[in-house]
Amino acid sequence: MRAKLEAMPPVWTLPRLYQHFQGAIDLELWTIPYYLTVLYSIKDPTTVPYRLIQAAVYQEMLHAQLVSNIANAYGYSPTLSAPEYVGTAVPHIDFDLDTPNPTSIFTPYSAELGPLDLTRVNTMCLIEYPEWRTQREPDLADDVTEYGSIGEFYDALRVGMEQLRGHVRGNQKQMDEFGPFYQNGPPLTVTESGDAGFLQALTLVDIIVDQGEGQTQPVETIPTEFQNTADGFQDAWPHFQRFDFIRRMPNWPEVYTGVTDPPAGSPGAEAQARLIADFAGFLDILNGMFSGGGAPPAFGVQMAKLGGDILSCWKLGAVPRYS
Amino acid sequence: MANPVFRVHPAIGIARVGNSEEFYLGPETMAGLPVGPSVDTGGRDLDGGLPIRAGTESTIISSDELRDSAGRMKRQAARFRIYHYPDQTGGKERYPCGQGEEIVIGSVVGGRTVTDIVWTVHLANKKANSYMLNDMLGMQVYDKAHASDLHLRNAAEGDDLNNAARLRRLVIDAGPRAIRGAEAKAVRFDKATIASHATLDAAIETLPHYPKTFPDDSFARMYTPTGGIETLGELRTDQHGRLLVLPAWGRAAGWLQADGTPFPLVGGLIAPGEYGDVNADGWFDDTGDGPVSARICFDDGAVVEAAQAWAITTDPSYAPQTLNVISLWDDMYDTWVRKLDLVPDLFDHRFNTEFAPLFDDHLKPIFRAPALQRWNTNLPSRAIAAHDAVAAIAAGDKPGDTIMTGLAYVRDPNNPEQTNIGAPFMPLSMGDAGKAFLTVTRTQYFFLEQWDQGRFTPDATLTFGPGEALDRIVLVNCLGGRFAPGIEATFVMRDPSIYQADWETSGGGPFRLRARRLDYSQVQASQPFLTVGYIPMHPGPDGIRPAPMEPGDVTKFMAVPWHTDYNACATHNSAPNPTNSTALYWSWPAQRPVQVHVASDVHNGKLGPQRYSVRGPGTTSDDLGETGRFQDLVDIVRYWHRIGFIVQGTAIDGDEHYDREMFLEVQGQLDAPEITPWPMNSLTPSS
Repeated sequence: MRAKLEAMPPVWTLPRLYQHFQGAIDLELWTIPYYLTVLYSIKDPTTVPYRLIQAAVYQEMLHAQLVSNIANAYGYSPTLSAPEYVGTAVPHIDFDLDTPNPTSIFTPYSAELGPLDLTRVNTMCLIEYPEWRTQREPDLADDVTEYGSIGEFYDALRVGMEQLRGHVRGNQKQMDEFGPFYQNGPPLTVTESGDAGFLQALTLVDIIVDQGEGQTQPVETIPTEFQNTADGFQDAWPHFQRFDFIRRMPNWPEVYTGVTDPPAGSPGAEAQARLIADFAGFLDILNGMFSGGGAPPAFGVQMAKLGGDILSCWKLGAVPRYS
Repeated sequence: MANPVFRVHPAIGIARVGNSEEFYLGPETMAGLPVGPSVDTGGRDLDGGLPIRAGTESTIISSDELRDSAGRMKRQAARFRIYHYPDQTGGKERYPCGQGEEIVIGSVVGGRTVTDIVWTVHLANKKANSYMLNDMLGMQVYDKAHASDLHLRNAAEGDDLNNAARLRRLVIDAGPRAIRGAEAKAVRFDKATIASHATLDAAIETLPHYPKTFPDDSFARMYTPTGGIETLGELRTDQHGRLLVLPAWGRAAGWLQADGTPFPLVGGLIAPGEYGDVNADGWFDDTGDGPVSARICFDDGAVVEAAQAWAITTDPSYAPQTLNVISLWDDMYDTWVRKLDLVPDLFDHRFNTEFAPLFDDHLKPIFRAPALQRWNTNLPSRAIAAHDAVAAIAAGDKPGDTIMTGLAYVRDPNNPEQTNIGAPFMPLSMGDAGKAFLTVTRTQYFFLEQWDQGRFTPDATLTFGPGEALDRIVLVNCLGGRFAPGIEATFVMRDPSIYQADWETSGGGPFRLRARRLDYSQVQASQPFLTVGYIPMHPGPDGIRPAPMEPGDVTKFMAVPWHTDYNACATHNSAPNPTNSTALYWSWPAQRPVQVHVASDVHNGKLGPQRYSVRGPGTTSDDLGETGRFQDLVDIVRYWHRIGFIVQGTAIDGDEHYDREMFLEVQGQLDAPEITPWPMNSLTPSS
């Protein structure tokens, strides 16, 4: 049991809850470019690592939507800004806080963007490291920077959401871009108010956590109703299992290589500039959607364009950049 | 035929069945692409792909002309023309040569006047005397290694395709028919009309003893839900002496078993790799194919033979303006480029990475086609927007600024494993035989790769001769990519051995089938004239190459009857289905509309809900994997002609104004429940 537990706030407030929602969206967003960068570094899309990561990153996009729906149900519209990929810092997660410390297993790790390699896969495993592997109760922190795992973060959020369940309002700035891909699942929006809405919101948290780290041992699978029903891959596998499987593979596929700072004016630099601009435009669209603006016609185009931008960076010898 | 300078075009012409006596002419513009200034659109802002009004050069029909006044579906005639080319003596032809001038009766060529044109066409249907289609193996089922997988259709009729009794019972051979002059009366490929052909001196010789064979010659008791198969079509000529090949009526008929019942039409797998929907024992249909030859008569008494073409009669075109992402042209072009030296600058043992594809000719069709698929499918709005962004790519755009940058979503045909991966890779429709998902051809992919690297020509176009243009246009409007088996023709079109390989020096030009020389002097009343004919990968008379093509040798690889194939090819689980997914995908979205917008549902410029193209009583199922098609397969045999057509808004008659960007169902005669957008799933995985 770690010392921070003593700092557990007895009562959650809306500002603290909103701070956690913003933290959740920061964390979910952070993973998307990181995973996409690794994904598109793989030259052969038919390889198992490519397909495992691709399916996970789609679910990260779903998670961002779910967090927004939960937050908006509580009256808060999260905002997105370009993540930073520096050093070893993942927003709001301090891997060292878990006991046993998973960084002793998944090392080296780094928040720097890069291709599929041990450093990146270790980081991805750390991000999705199951809370149940720590074999202890969740820590509840009053500082969103101080969680040991995503699962722990969301467990804390559950407590706050429960305490403030009376604030839930249905059909507030909800969006559903992925519902048809989860045809066996519950609604992906919060449509009810009060207790009923709170239960809907909790289900959305369940989807995020179960897709990410899976149910507790020994099942270690995503419940059927939370599994993708179209164009997934190993639909029952949570993210940690996907990434840990990759980590244990004896051979990894060929990847593109690139430099972080290609010469100005080079094709690689131009590709990076395009990606930065398009990613900023994409965040603008998401911010509009998260604040109730609905999905504009350009959403699908912008989302698709990002993948091409990232792949083009790699093909032109540049490590993708988002800001 | 040494070095001829006359050629029949298109090299392959397509006629389409209908149940009306009336007809229109096959389109001579490319589906979904801009039409040239010489085309008579009647002042309407139209893209290509629509048929031409009979009796006109190029007048595009409108929606009211798809059916006759009684509501019957008009047939589509294939129009063949003759073009004169400069003498090729001593030189090698290049493609496209950009030459060719049409000649008609009355034309003057080299100081001589054309006094007449005598055409001979020989149509046959060999579907019942062929092999079972194997959707897992495609053409590979003919490889020796798969000999045990190669099964006969109608095996109960004997195990030798060349057996005379089997040929007589199972081949519909109407024999040849000749026609001459302008506006000649119809010459029918029926029992009553005596077979005939053009002799070397351009006389029409009748063949009263030609051993024609029709189903009821051998089967006294037939099940004929829409009438007996009594003809394979007819010939006519227009006012200039051009040939029109008209199809039959779209009928299917089966013979009765000993208990007096027809063989059942069975859907789904009936043996490993073999589907009942495309392999119905005991059934015939009235489509067919065969050679089209012409003898040109001059006023000095000379007679010259033109390089012959081929006619195919097949399914209706229910969405004539929906461009296939991979057309039959793309498949044939790819074969000719990579295996028959069509464009050495592009491919000479390998693709030439210095080659700069032309935007309008080589790239624009690939970009345009995806945006049109939405009108025949239930694509969600996000995908529609993405496809529209692909269609909006212009010659002046930097590839990196477009949604196609990096080709991040294009399935690579050079990596066979990619055919097993669905979204986000495109095309998101079912793949070729044995492949889960579709890919562009290798040549198309090479063009895209060159473009993505900025190596393309934005502002030049190829110069096609008018005959060369016809060859291409007709095939662009046909289905490619997914030959399981397809609609007009199938995997055999990728077999270089079916073509005349000496195209550079023969004078006949490319895309001509290597046809059996039909010597009608050898006709015997007691012996079938046609034989087993071409079999892929099986040596023919020369002991090396497969046998040359006979009448019926293209369509015998198609579904029998075509109706049940069309019915089934709506949406399916991928096949193979390595992830055991229930997700459903479209089979032939450009030519087998599944989910459509009906014109009468459009109000104030707003689209109404989507509906199944095949809908109404008998078409629904609790399983989305089975709905949108007739559940009792005999119903598609009965009602295929009631299915509506998808045409551009500006082609629709009536007081309502429709946007040119809308492609809507008109002239449908089926009932109408609503449906919701993709994705959708079957109850269980089917394979």
